Amino acid sequence: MLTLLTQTLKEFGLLWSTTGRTLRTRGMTILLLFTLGAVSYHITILLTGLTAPLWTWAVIPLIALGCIIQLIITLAAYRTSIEQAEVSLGTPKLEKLNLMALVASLLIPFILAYSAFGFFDSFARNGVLATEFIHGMTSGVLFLQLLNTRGSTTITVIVAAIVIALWVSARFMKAWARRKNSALLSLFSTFLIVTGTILMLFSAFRLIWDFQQWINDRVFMSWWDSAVGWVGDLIHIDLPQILVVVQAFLADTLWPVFWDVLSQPLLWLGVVALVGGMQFMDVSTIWARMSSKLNIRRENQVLSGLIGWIVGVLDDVLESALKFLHLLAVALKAGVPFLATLIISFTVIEQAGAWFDFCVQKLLGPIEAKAVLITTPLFSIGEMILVPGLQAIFLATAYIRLRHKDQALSFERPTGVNWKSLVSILLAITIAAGISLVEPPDADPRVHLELGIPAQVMGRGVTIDDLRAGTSMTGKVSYTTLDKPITTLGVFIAVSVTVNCYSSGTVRVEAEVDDLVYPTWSSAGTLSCHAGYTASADIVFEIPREEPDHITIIVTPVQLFMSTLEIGDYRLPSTLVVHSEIFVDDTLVEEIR
Amino acid sequence: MKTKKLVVLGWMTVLICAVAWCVSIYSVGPMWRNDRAPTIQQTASWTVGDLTLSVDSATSGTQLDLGYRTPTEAIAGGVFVTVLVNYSLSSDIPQSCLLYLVGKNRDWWTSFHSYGAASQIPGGSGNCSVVDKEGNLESHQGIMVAVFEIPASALDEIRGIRVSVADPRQQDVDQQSALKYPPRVAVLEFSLD
Repeated sequence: MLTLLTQTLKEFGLLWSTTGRTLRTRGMTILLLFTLGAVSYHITILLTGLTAPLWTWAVIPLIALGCIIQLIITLAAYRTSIEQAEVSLGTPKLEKLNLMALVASLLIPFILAYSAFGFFDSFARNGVLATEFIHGMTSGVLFLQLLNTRGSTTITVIVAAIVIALWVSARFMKAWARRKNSALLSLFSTFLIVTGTILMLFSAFRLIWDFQQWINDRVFMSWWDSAVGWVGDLIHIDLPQILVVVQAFLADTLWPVFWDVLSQPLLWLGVVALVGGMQFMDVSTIWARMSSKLNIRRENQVLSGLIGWIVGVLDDVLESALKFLHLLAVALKAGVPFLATLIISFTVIEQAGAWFDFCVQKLLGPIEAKAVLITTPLFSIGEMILVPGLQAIFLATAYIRLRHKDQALSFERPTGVNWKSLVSILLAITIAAGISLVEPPDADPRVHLELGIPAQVMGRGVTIDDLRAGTSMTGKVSYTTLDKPITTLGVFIAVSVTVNCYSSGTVRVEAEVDDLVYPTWSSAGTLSCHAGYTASADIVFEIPREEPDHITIIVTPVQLFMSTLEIGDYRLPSTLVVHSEIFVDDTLVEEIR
Repeated sequence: MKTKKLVVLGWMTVLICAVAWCVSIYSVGPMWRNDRAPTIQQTASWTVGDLTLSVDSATSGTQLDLGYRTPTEAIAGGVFVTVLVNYSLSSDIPQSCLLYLVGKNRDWWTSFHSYGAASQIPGGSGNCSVVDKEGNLESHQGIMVAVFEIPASALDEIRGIRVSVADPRQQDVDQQSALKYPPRVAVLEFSLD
C-alpha cells in the first residue's frame, strides 16, 4: 500500500513538473489559442443575439460555425501541448495527422462531450440573454418559441428532412473532398455534419423536456405514488421511503462522482489521445472479429448485410464509444498511480477554475443590469481560457506519459487487478470527490443590515425595522382587514422594510434558513419605488417554530438582467421573543423623505 | 519568427474583437439606447418620420388643476412638473409616444394625472395623436401633455424630456417582425419656467 502511495506521489511529481515546463515554454501560445476560442464563442453569442428573433433558424448554422472554430482552436492547443510534452518526456514523435482529417475524426466525440458537459445549455442561456439585451425582454421567449423543432408536425417533418439532407450532402461532400484532396470541401462537409447534429440535438432536448414535463405531470405522479405504495404493501416494506433514499444517493452522491470525477478526465484524455495520433480500435475490426466468432457466414448475406448496414449508420457514434472504452482500458492498464494522479489533478484544476471565477466575481461585482452582457466575457476567463488551457497541457502530458510507458497503447483487457489497487482507486476517487466538494461560496457581496439603521444595497437605501414574532397575527394583509387573528402552528415573523431609491428600483425580500428560502406569507415579496421616493411595508413570513433563532432576512435588488448582485442580510437575534399576537399592515406606503 | 508574428496577430485579433464586442453592444442594446439618444435644444424641434415634436412649455408647482372644485395637491415634499409638447403630423398615420422626465442619472414616468391635465388644455391629449373610435386620425397637430410628480429637491437637476416614438410600421406586423423596428428616442431639452 505504501509502495502504491510513493509511486502515486512520484507520478504526481513527474506529471506536474512536465506540465510546468510546458507551461513555461508554450503557456502564452496556449493561452492565446484558448482566448481566441473564447472570443469566437462570444462573437457567436453576439451574432445569435442580433439574428435570433429575426431569422431564428440561422442560429443553428451559427452555433455550428462557432463549434467548428472552437474545435480547430482546441485541437491546435492540444497539438502544441503534445509536441512540447513529447520533447519534455523524451518520447518519440508519431506521424502528424492532417488537421482537417483530425477535425473530421474528432467531430462527433467533441460535440457529444460538449453537449454532455453543458456547452449547449450555456450557449442557449447566453444566447437568450444576448437576444433579450439587444431586442428587449420579450424577444428571448419569442426566440425559444420560434426555435421549436417540435412546434408542429410540419416543422418536425421539415427538420427531419433537413437533418437527413445535411447528413447525405455531408457524406457526398466528404467523398468529393477526399477525391479532390480539398481542405475547403472537407471543412464544408464538417460544417454540414455539425449543423445536422446540432439540429438533431435541439430536437432531442425538446423530447427530453417533453418527457420531463410528462413525468412531473400530476396524473403520472399520482399513478407512480399509488404503484410504489401498492408494491411496498405487497412486500411489507416502506418502498416510497427507500426509493427516496436511493434516488438521493444516486443523484447527489454516485452520479456526481461518476460524472464529474471519473468521466470528464477520461473523456478529455481520450480527445487528447486522438489528437496525439493514438491508434484506436475501429468498428470494422470489431465487426470482423464478431462475425467470425458468431460464425456469421458469408452465405447468410441478409443478416450480414443488415448488421453491416446498422454498423455503417451508427459508425460515428460506435467509433466514439469504442475509443472511450479503449482509452479506459489503457488508463487502467497504466496502473493505479497514473489513474489516481489523473483523477485528482483534473479535479484540482476544475476547482481552481471555480475559485478563480469566484475571485473575478468578487473583484468586479456587483454588476448593474446594463453592464451584464458586456461583462460576460470577463466572467468566463477561468472557465473558457485558464481551465481548458491548463487541462490541455496536463492531459497532453498524461497522454505522452501513457505512450512513454507503452508505445503501442493497444487494447488489452486489464490484468493484475487486486484489492490493493481497488482500495487505492477508491481512495483517489474519494479524495477527488472531497476536493470537488470544496466549492467557492456565493460571490454576491453581502451588506449586513442592523435593525433601524439604513444601509446602501446597490444604490438603494434599505432599512429593516420593527421586528415582531408571534403565533397569531391581526391587522391588514393583502388589502383586507382581518376580522379575527390568524393563527399558525409555526411562527409569524414580521419586519417593516423601507427602501429609499435615488433612481427607480425594486427589491425582493425573503427569509433564509441555511439553504432553505421562505417566500413572504402574503404579498409578492417585492418593494418598488420611483426615483427620489421611499417605499415601505410590513413583510410577513411563516416559518417552523424551531427556526426563528437562525433565520436571516435577505434583501435582493431586482434587475432586468442579473449577474453578481449586492445583497442585504439581517440575522434575527437569538433572543427573539415570540408573542401570542402581533399586528401587521402590509399596505405599501410611498412617500418623499 | 513566424510563430512570434502569429502570436502578435492573434493578440491583435483578440483586441479588435474586444473593441467590436463593446461597440456592438453599446450601439444596439436598448439599455444603452437612452445614453445614445440625441439631445434637441430647447428652441429646436425634432422630426422623426412623419412626426415633428417641440417643447411648448414646462412648469412646476405643488398644485395641479384637473377641473375639480379644488386643485390637486402634490405629495408632501413633492412637486408637479407639467410639460407641454407640440406635435404635428405630415401623414394620416397615428403615432404613439412615451415621455420621461430626465434628471441626473435618473428619470420619471408620467403620472396618471396627465390625461386629466390634458383635458383642461384646448387641443391637449396624453399622446402624440388623437384618434376616433375607428382609429382614424382626428387632427394633424396638437399638444401632448405630460405631468410628473417628483421630489421638490430634484427640480434643479431636470434637463429635459425623453421622447420614445414607436415605429408605426410595427402596427401591421407580427411580434417577430415588430422587433425589426425599434422605437426612436431623443431628449428634448428645456428649462423650467
